[in-house]
Amino acid sequence: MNYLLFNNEIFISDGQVIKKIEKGPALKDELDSRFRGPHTGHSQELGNDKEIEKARICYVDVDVMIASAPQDYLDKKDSMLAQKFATVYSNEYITLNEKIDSNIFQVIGIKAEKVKEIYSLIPGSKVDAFVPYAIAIRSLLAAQQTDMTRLIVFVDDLGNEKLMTVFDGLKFSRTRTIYNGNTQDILPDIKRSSIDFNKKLGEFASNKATGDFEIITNNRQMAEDIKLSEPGLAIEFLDCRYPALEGLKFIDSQIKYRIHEEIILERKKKELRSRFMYLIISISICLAGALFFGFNQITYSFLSRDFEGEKLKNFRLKDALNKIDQHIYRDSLKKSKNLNYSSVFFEVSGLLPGTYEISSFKFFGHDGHWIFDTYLFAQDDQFYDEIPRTKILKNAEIKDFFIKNRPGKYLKVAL
Amino acid sequence: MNKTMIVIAVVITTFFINLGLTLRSQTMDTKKQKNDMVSENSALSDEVGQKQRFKKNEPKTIPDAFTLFVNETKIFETTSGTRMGIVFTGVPKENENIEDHYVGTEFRNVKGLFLTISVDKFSNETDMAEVLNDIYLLENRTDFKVSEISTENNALIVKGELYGI
Repeated sequence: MNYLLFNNEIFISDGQVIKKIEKGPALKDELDSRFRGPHTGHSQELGNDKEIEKARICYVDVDVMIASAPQDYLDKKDSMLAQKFATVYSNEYITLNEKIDSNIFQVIGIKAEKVKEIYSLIPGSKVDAFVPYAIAIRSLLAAQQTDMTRLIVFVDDLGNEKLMTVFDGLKFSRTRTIYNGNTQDILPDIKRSSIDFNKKLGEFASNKATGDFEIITNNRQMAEDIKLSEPGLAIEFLDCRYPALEGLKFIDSQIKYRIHEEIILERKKKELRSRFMYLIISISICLAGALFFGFNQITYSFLSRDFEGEKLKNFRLKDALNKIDQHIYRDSLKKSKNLNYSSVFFEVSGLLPGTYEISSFKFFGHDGHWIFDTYLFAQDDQFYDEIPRTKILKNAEIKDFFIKNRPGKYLKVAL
Repeated sequence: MNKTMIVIAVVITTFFINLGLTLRSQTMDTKKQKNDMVSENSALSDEVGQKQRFKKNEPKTIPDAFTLFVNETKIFETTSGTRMGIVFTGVPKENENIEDHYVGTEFRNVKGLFLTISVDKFSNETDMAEVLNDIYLLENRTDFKVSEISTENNALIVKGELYGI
């Protein structure tokens, strides 16, 4: 990972060695050689002869404002904050925002042309993070567990220039650049900056009541001079030559300024991915329906084939039975004609006492059996003798009855 | 665009599911029909097995069977000790086609003709056992099968069915 600080001069670090690059015609070649190859001696100066894979960038010249927006509606929030920013800063800006309180956001804008310029020097695919300079400093202070509840004026001595940024918790001011001022000249600037920042924050300021502030600087001499000139002022020396480059190490890589073209390209990619995903989902839905249909079609086909087989079998069996029936019905009839009516009648009448006469009789089939029933009367002036229950009459049903005032017997024999 | 794709997919899927459900319903119906057919075929197979045990004979047409039947009754009329008048109550009226009276039987492709024989003019001396024996012989010599024999107003009524192809 490499770290870059963009201001009037450009500082590049591979995490250990730091190099300053002057702005000018050679800058593009310099960065091209580092990020796109071919390798030259420049990259070796940083102790790294490989092409730079990823870089984190911080940019000093940003504009900041605090604005409110509904935090629950993300799209609405972003557009509303961008709109509010545009009313204050007229140029074309690319903005990012971070939540600092409920429905309160810090909007940080970088001029679009500057972002484009940086992306013309460094390929977008190699930019891991692109943040305002103040966020890099804030990350370093947070990493060093600095008390951020107080108003802090951070003075970064880059050599030829000094960068002054005021922090109030998460909130920070626009970074001011001061050229070669001595301690006596800088102190009023520091005080003015803190007052201006408090004024600018207005109702959003956390420390407006006290007005106290602490100075943190990476210039030991300046820290000592301020201590001498104003002993009551809280001042802390930060032993770090390039605090912004150090702070970039602790940056959340999700923060990244991007040019519109890249956003559009990414949006197109995202849309394409989304469209592809929807296409897959749509195909899956269709496939599920088609599978359901296919499964039923296959089941129906197999079943139909079996059914056709059974129908053919049924047809053949019926055909066979038609032929068989035509040839066996006479034999079947012969076998079913097994009752000699004469023998039955003769046997029954032979068992009846001689005093009876058969009035009427009937042979009929019932449940696959023959039934013989008859009505008996006693012959003229004769007695009704008892009918013997022997042989064929052993299980006969015998009943008494009257027909036309004449007593008689009903006899039923199952054959 | 994405929503349109999903909507189109849902419409296509609905179409497929609808077709699938129709097929499923048809499958259920066919399954039931097939099961019924399998049961019927099993019963038919058993029937074929049982009927294979019967002796095979050359079938007769109903007209042939009827001619034989009528001739046999005439023989009994002339040869019986007691004169019997025999009428066929099931016989068609004059000029009526006998084929109109054919019915189906328990045997496939075998037709039946319901007939009733009325044996009357009984005297006290008539031997009923002999008359019944004649009916028994008539039944055994022809393709006529008796279903009921009864006495009615001094007459013997014989109901039955004549078989033929």
